[in-house]
Amino acid sequence: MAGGENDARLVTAARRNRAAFVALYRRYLPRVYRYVYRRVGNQQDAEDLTASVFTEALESLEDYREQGSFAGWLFTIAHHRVADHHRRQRKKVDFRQVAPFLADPALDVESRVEQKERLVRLAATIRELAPDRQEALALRFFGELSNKEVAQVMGRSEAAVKMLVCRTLRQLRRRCGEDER
Amino acid sequence: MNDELYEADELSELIDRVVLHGAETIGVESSLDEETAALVNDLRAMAQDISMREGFARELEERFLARETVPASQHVVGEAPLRRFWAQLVQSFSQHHWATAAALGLLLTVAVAPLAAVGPQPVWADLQRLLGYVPGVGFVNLEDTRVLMAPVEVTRNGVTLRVEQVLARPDHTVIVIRSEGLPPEDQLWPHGAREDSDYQPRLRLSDGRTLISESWTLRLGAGMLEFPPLPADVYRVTLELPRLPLLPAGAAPEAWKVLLNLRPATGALVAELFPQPYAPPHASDTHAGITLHVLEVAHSPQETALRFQVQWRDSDWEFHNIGGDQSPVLRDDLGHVYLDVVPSSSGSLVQTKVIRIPDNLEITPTPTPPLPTYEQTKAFAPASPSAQCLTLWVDALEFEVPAEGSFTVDLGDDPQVGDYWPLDVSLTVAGFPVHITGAQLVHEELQLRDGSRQRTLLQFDIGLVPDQGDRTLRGLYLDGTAAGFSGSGGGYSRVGGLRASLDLQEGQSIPSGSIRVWVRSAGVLIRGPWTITWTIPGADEAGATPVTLHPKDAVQTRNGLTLGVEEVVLTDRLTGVRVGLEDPPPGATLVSGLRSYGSIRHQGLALEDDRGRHYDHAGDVYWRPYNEPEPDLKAFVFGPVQPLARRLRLHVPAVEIALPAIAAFDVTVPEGLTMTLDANDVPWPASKPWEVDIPLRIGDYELHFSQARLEELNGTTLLTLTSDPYRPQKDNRWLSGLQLASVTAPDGRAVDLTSAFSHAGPGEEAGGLYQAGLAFDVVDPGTGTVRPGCYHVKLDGVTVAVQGPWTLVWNLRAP
Repeated sequence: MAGGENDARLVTAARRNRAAFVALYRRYLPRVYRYVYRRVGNQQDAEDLTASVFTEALESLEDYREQGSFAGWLFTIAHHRVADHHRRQRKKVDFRQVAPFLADPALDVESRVEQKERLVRLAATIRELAPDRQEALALRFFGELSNKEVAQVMGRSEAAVKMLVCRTLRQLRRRCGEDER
Repeated sequence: MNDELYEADELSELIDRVVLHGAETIGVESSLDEETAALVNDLRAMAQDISMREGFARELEERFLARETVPASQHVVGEAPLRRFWAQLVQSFSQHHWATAAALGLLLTVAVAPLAAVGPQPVWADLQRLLGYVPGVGFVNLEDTRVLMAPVEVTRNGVTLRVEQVLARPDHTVIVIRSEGLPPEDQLWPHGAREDSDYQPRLRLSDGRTLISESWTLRLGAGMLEFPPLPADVYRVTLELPRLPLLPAGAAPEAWKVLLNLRPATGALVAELFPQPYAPPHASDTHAGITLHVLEVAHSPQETALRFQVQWRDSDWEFHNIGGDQSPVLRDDLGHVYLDVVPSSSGSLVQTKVIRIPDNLEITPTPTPPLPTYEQTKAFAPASPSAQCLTLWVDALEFEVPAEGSFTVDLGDDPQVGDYWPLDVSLTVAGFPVHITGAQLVHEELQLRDGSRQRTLLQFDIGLVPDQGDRTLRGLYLDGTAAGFSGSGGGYSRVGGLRASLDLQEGQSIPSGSIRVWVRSAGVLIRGPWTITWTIPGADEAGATPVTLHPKDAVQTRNGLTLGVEEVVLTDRLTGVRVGLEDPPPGATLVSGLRSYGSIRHQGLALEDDRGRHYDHAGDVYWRPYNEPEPDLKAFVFGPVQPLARRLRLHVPAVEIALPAIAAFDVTVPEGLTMTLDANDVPWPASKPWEVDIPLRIGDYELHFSQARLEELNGTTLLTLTSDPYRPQKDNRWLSGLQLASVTAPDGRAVDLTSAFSHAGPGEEAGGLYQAGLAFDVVDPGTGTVRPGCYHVKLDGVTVAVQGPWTLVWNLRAP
């Protein structure tokens, strides 16, 4: 994972130099996009919001005095942008829209079909989770944040996030198991 | 419980390994079952499966690269040099003396004046009345159009479907719909969402025939639907919706039918229904033979829309973009600056659809042909009802200009991705001296929705190109088709210079030997600015002026600093609050108010009134009275206060102050350093770091610079010094930067500190340790090369972030 030390250097440089901000942008764009896409469920909104996240980050760079990581700060912006979006649109994310779920091409056809079905089922199950559990999963897996960074974004302790993710996975595991039976 | 903790730890490590460190698919772990491992793998697979649209990353990157870089003052190191122009406008109030006679009552009256009342009274001839501005659609010619007299709605089981407008035009029919009372979002998809593709709205005619919607733009429960044109003389149709837009089956009543009665649009009807556009007289400005006209303006509660036209002389030129380093803005005579509205995904065509008005209805006397022209509609945040004048400000216009020239690159016998060829090619392109310094074969992986695509680029680095008068070279468009390349891209290099690239055609092998590359055209920015001012028709000449308050008692002391509200400006579009230090420590000055501290963001800086109403940071309008130069970082802008508010409370999480302090040290730049690109470290050329031993005690802070290196940034070479990680002395106050007084080069000359900067803050993810950095230019302006030797550095201060929070309260009305 990109190191925080490099981030700090890039942030410092980005205050002076647009190329440095682009370096940060390149580093975090895929993660922010995936997270936002996961939360809003369509390409157009994901693009708009991702653009606004980086725009706000660029505008607010002088405010960045985080005691946590840059990633945590950036995803806090994304978190709020997504929340604003949902408030505005009153739109529920359809987790199944997140991606067409390309199955692993290395698998044989039968296994790919099976994997695809499993992912679709998993997506539907995730959608039924409590909002904070969905958010924790999105930040952890789609935003690729550490527990500490998720904690920073969600305003919880690192231990609480660790436990939240564990319980969420346990709940998913149980529900997926029930579905299969 | 211990088992749960153990499981959480195990899982956490496993997720870190897979998600953060990119481990391949994991197997069954010692204490984790197979299902859990599969679940983590599946979640990872789902995340990896999300790919971006081709071109999105590049488009967005170019937008960021196009933003301006603001030089930092040498005495405010670490302060916001990179800002969007319009983010800087929260301005000093002190130099602008507003009329103070305006009573607060007037302010409050203005504040509640409905924005719908904004704008001109109808001033057009009858014919011109048929031109209307329909928010979300654009400037439209309503001649031969049937429209809905008023919105109609149907309510079933608490859900309302409203048809807001129908434009039955000769070429197509547009229907704008919206719904309310939908179930809470967490109940909408309990059993999975339906596919959107079978969404099929219809218009049923009285004779039973139906028209099927050709295209639509949908939001949850809302949308803009396009149908074929209605037959002539049809004034009564029924809109049939099998389901409200984007709602899953069973979530709300279905099979909606709304009867629509239409009327022919007449001048009087259009004037009543739609914001009336007006043509500002003499609204044009010309620079370098290029004229920017504002053709039409319309004010609506959602936006102020402009239709503008660019007219230039050379028919070989092609218009590319309005705005150069900065976005165009609209300003008013009161001091508001309105930003262009980011195109929402709500289906608004305001920024993307240009509706040509027939020549016989042109409202500008300016002849169009034979000069080439370009027209576009652009929307800005809605203007204040109190404004009398508006000014469109455009810093530059970008054109694609034909160019001629070619050069050869010898790729050798067996060129491979990653190979770099130094070049020394000098060309004159569109009047610019262009020096191509190298080429590199680069392999890229594009993330597409249906998977990734690989491509190979030949990238050319171009040295910094000096401006030619009011012109700036923004890009080169190359042609390498003869050698198997297709397409051409551009952008900025890692050091701020230009870059041009050729894409290798798919399936084509990398050519070898000498290839010829042609320069076909160049992106050229023509700098103005273009400034166009006009009076809003119907505006009250004795319009209200913003109220300015100077609250006396809005002060609070935290951590040894007394912060107070110095000035408050209240307008119908915003609330501006400027803070300052009272009885500051000797020599201390307030640099900026900080919107966040630690992980508190957004909620950190807050303004609320005595009725509990929370005012958000104003996002699309800023306050900057005319002729005020630099932004005031001590001022904040929020939405307008509500008329019933009696008291306001501002919550400031932290501030940054500058403190005087003296220190000096020497640092030596060795000879013979070479600059290389190392993607694992900084993404621009840099030297290998070398160790230094510079203990520094400045003010209350002790640092130790232990590493130095040269880095190429923004076309120059900086010496960057990095400190050892340190633990901040206090939790509520930490060093945020060093202030450079002077740097003396080895030859005794003073170093230009324009490029110098400093920052201190969290340096590592773990451990809560901080680092400080300092950078300054080491290039000899005479030779353009690095000056090795001993540099003498003098510091005269530090900037320090101080935690509050300060809660500042003041009355809006006299007690």
